[in-house]
Amino acid sequence: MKKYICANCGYVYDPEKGDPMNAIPPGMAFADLPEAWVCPMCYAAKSQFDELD
Amino acid sequence: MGVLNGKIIVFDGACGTNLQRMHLPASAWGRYAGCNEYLNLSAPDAISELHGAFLAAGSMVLETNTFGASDIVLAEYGLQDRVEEINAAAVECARVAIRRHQPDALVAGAVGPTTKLPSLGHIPFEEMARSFSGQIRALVTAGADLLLIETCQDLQQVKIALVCCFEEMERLGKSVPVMVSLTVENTGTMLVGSDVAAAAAAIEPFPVFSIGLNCATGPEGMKSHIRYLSRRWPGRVSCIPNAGMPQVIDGRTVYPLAPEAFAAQMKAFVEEEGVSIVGGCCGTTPEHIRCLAKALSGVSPAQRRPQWEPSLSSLYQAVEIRQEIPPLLIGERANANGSRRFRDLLLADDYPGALKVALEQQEDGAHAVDLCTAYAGRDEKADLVALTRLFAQSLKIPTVIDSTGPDSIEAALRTHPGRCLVNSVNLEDGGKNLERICRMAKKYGAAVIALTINEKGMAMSVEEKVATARAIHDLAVGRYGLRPSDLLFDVLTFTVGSGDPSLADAAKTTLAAIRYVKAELPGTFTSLGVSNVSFGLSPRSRRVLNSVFLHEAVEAGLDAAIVDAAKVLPFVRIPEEDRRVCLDLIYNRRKDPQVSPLADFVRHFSDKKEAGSKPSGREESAQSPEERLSEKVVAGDKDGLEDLLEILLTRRPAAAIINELLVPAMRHVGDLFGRGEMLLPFVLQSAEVVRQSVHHLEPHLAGEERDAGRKMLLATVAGDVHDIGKNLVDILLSNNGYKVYNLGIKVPAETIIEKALEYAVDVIGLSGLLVKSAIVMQESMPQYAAAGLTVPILLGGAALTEKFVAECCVPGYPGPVVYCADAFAGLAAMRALESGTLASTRYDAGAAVQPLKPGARSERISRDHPVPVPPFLGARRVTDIGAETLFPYINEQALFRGRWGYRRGKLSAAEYDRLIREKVRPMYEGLQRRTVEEGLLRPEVAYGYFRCFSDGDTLVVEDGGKRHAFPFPRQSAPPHLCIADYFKSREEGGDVVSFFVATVGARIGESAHELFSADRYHDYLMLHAFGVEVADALAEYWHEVIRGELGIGGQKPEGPGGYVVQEYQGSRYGFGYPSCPDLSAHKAVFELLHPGEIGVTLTEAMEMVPEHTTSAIVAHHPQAKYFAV
Repeated sequence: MKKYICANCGYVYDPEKGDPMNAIPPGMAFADLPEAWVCPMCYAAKSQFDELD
Repeated sequence: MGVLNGKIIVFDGACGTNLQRMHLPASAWGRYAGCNEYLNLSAPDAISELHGAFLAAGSMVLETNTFGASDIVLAEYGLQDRVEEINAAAVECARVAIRRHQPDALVAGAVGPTTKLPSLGHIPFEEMARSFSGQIRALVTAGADLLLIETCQDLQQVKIALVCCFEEMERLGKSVPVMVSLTVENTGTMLVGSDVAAAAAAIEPFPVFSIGLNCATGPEGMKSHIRYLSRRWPGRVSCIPNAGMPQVIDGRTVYPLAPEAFAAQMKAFVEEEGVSIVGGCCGTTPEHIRCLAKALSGVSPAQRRPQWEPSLSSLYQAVEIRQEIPPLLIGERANANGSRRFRDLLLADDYPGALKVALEQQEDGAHAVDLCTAYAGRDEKADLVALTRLFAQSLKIPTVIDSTGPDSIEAALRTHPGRCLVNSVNLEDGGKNLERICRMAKKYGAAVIALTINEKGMAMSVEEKVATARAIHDLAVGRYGLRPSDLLFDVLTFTVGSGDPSLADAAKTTLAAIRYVKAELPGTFTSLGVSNVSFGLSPRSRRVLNSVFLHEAVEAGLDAAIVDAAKVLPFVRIPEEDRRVCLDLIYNRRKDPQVSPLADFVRHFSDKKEAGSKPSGREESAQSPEERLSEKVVAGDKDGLEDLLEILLTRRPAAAIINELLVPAMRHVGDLFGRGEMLLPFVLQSAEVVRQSVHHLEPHLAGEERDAGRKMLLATVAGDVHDIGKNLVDILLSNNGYKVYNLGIKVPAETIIEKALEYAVDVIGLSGLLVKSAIVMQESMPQYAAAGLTVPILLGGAALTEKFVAECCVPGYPGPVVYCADAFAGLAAMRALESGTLASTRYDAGAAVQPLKPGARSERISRDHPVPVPPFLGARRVTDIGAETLFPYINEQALFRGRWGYRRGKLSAAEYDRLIREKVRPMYEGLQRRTVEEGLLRPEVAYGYFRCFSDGDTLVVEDGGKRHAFPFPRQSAPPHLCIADYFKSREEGGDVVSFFVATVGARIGESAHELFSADRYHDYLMLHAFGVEVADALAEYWHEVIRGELGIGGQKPEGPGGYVVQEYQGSRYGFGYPSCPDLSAHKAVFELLHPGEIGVTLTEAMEMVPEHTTSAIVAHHPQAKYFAV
C-alpha cells in the first residue's frame, strides 16, 4: 500500500502504521480514509496529499 | 593499501588559501610570483609543514601542490621545462611530512584543469594530451599512490586527462587508482555547461576509483548533485567542498562555514548519502579537517544501492539507452547517404545548414542524432570532425558517429566531449576492423552498434544473426575489454516491400532475432534501422509500416531505433485497418489465401487519403501562426514570441489576438491545472507569455479596446500584509482578459469603497490571511452596503471557510458574496459572473463534512515535570546567523509541493522524480546560492527566557517586576487542552517559558515584489515562497537552539520527517495558529523581547512586519505537542 505525503507540512501517512492521532488503525489504505480525515499535524484536507513512491 | 580500502577516506584541506595564511616572504616565489607550485622547489619545508598540519588533524591522503603543474599552466611563468622536477618535488614534500607524522598516509597526485577549455576549441586534443601525459608521467614516476583529476570544468578536458592517465600507466607498466572530481557552478552545471549526469555518463566507462565534486560551493550547494551520484554512481563518491560560499567582506574574501558546521554537513552526506571520500577545498583549514575527522569517527557511510543506467551524453546532458518509454530514437536525417537535403548542404559546405538538420530532429523528439558524412568526393574525416564539433557545442542530445573508417571515427571521438555511440562495426573482414574500433571505443569510453554481418555476408536466418552477435560479443567483451552494455546489436532489417519471396519472412525473422539476442546476450542492447523494412513502398504507406514495425520491435525488446523522429506515428493513433495490413505483411499472414499480404497492403494504401504529418514550426509546416501562439502559451515558451505576434498582426487585429487566441489558450491552461495535468509554476509561465504578448500588442489597441473586459478591484484588507494569494489572483485574472486594479495590502474599507466607485468595477475581490481579517471582512459588509455598492464581492484567504462566508458575510451585503478557495476559484467566479450565474456561497450544514479533530482523546498533563534552568533571564538579540545554517532545516516537501505547487498530479512516480531531480531541485539550490550571494537573507532573532506560572487558562509571565498575562483558549471537547497547562502554577512552584521573534529580514520580500512588478510571475512565486520556508526553517532552527540551551535537546529528530512530527521534547506554538489564534498576544511578546531592535514591527492588527517573520512561545513540557482548539 502506498504512502501519502501532505503537501502542506510534509507529514507522511503510512498505511502500515495507521494514524493514532485520528484513531485510524494500521492497515487502512489512504483511499479508504474517511472524507473528513485531516492531516494530524497541520489539519490539511485529503486533497492536499500526494501519492509517495 | 589500507587507507584506500577503508570505509571513509579523509583527504586534506585547502592549499592555496592556507599558503596565504602562512605569510611566506615574497622571495619564496622568486621570479615566479603567483606560481604556488614553484614553492615545492623553493620552500619545500613550508609545503611539508602544511601537509604535516593536515596529517596531525587526521588526513589520510595528502594532495600534492601540483594544481597548476602541467606545462600549459607553468608556461605562463616560463617554467614549462621543469614539469618533472616540480611534480617530483611536490610528491617528495608530501612524503617528508608522511614519514614524520603518519607513515600510513598516502600521496594523491593532483592534476588541475589548466586554464584552457578544449570544448570551446581553446586547445586541440593532442596538445592538451601531451601536457597531461607529461604531468601524469612525472607524478606516477615520482611515486604518487593515486591520481586525482580535480576541479574539472570542461568535460572534454576530463576525457583527455582520463585517456592520458590510462595510456601513461600502461606505458609505464605502473597502475594507480584514478579519482575524478568535478566542479559544478552556481548554474548547476560545469563551467562549459555539462550537468552531472552528462559528466558521469562520459566518465563511467573508464575504470576510475571514484567520482565526486570539489570547490565552487560549500557542502549544501552540492546536495542535489551528491544525491544524484549517490543514487546512480556504481562506485565511491567523493565530496571535497569549500568552507561555504565565499563572500567579500571589507575587501577580503572570507569563507564563512566554520569547522564544526562544515563537519556536521559533511557527516550528513556520509550518513545519508553514503559519501565515502571527504575533504576540504578552498577556505578549509586543519581545524576543519580535525572537526571532520572527529565527527566521522565511528561513523559508517550509508548503505548505497546505486542504480546505474548505461547512457550516452552530449556535452550538456545524458540520455539513458534504455528509455522509460522505449525506444531510444536516433534521428537519421543527418546522413549524406540517406538524405538528399543533407547531402546538398554538405556539397555546398553549408555546415550551419547541416547543423540545422540536427536541431530540427532534436525538436522533433529525437534522443540522439546519427551523423554520417561519407560521400564520394568529400573528405569524410574533415567533414565529420567539423560537424561533430558543431553538434557537440549546439545540441542538447548526444551524437552517433556513423562511419566505418577507423581514422574518421577516432578523430570524431577525440572531438566530442560527451559519450558517443559508434555506428557501426561488423565481422565482414574477419574481425580486423572490429578489433580496431572496439579498442578505440574502450580507449575513449564510447558505445558501439554491431551489425550481424560476418565473412559470409549479411546474416539472414535467426540462428545466424544470433551466432554472429555472439561471436562479436565474445570478441568485444572477452578480448577487447568492452562491457555488454557498451554493445547495441543491430540484427538487420530487410524490406518486405519488394515482393522478393526470399524476404517475405525477413521482418518476422528480425523480430525473433531481437528476442533471442536479448535473452542470450543479457546486458547488451539492440538497435535497428527501421526504415529499411519498407524500402520500395509509397512514402505514406512507408510511414505507417515503419511505425507499426517499430512498435512490434519494441515489444520484442528493441532498445534503440534509427528513424525519422518527425515521422513516427504512435501505435494507438494508427487506425485498425492500417495496423492489420501492416501486421499481416510483417508476419507474412494471409487473410485471403489468394492474396499476398503485400498486395493487400499496397491496395489498402493506394485507396487512402494522405495521413497528416507531425506539425513542426518550420517552412514546410502545416501549423498556422494562430496554433503556434496557443502552443506557446500552453508551453510557457517565450522564444520568438514577438516575431510571431508581428506575423499575427498582419492577419488579425490586436484585440482579436487577445480575445480569440490568448485568452482561450490561458483558459485551457486553467482547465489543465484543474485536471491535475499542469502544475502551478507552469501556469505562471504561461501567464508570463500572455502578459508579454499583451504588452507587445497594447500599442495596437484602440482606446476602448484597452478598457474592455470585466473590471475587478483587488485588495488585502486592513491590518493584513499578506499578498501572495491576492497577487496570484491578479496574475491569473489579468491574463485571462480581465482588468485588475490591485490596491495592495492593508487597505481600509473606505479606500476600497472610494476606488470601487471611481473605477466603476464589476466585482470586488478581498483577501486576507489572518483570522482577524475574516472578522474585518465580516464587519465591513454593512459598510459596503451603506455606500450603495451592489457588485459581487469575492472573498479569499486562509482563515476563511465556506461556512463563515455563508453565515457571517453573505447576510450583510445585498449583492452576491462568494467564497473563493484560490485564484482558480476566483477565475471560475468571473466566468460565472459573465454568464449571469454567479450566486452567493451557501453552506449546507447537513451535506457538509465535519473535519476530524486529530489529537489524543484523553490525556492527563503531568504536574511534576522538571523545570529546566535557563541560561539567562530576559531578552537577547542574535544577529550573526548564517543563512546556510538554516538551509538544512528547510521543509523541502512543503516548499516544493505546497508552496511552489509541484504536486504529483497525474505524473507517474518516475516522471515526478525526474521533475524534482532535473528541474525543481537545481532551481532550489540556485535560489539558495543566489540569496546568499546577493545578501537577500538576514536571519536575526529576538528571544528570551522568563519566569512564569499558569493561572487557569492564562500564563502569567514575569519580567523584571512586571507581569504579562497570556490568556490561551481551551479545547471545548476532551481532552480540553490549553497551552497554559504545560506550565506549573504558582503553587506547583512556577515554571520557565521561552519566546522568540525570528525574521529573515525585509530584503527577500522586497526583492520578490520587484519580480512581481516586473511581471516575472514564476520567479516571484519561487522567491517569495522560498523566503517563507527559510523563515520557517529559522523558527525550527532556533527552537532547536533553545532546546539545547535548556538541556532538553537529547531527543533528536530523525531526518526532515522527524521535525514534521515533532520528534523532540516540547513544542513551540506560533501566535495566530490554531492553539493560540489571538494575535493580540503579540503586544506582550513585543514588550518582553523588543524585536524592534531587529527591525520587526507590528501593524494595527498585531501582524508582524516584515512579512518573512515568525513568532512563538516555546513549551518544554514533555507532553507538549501541537493541538487545535
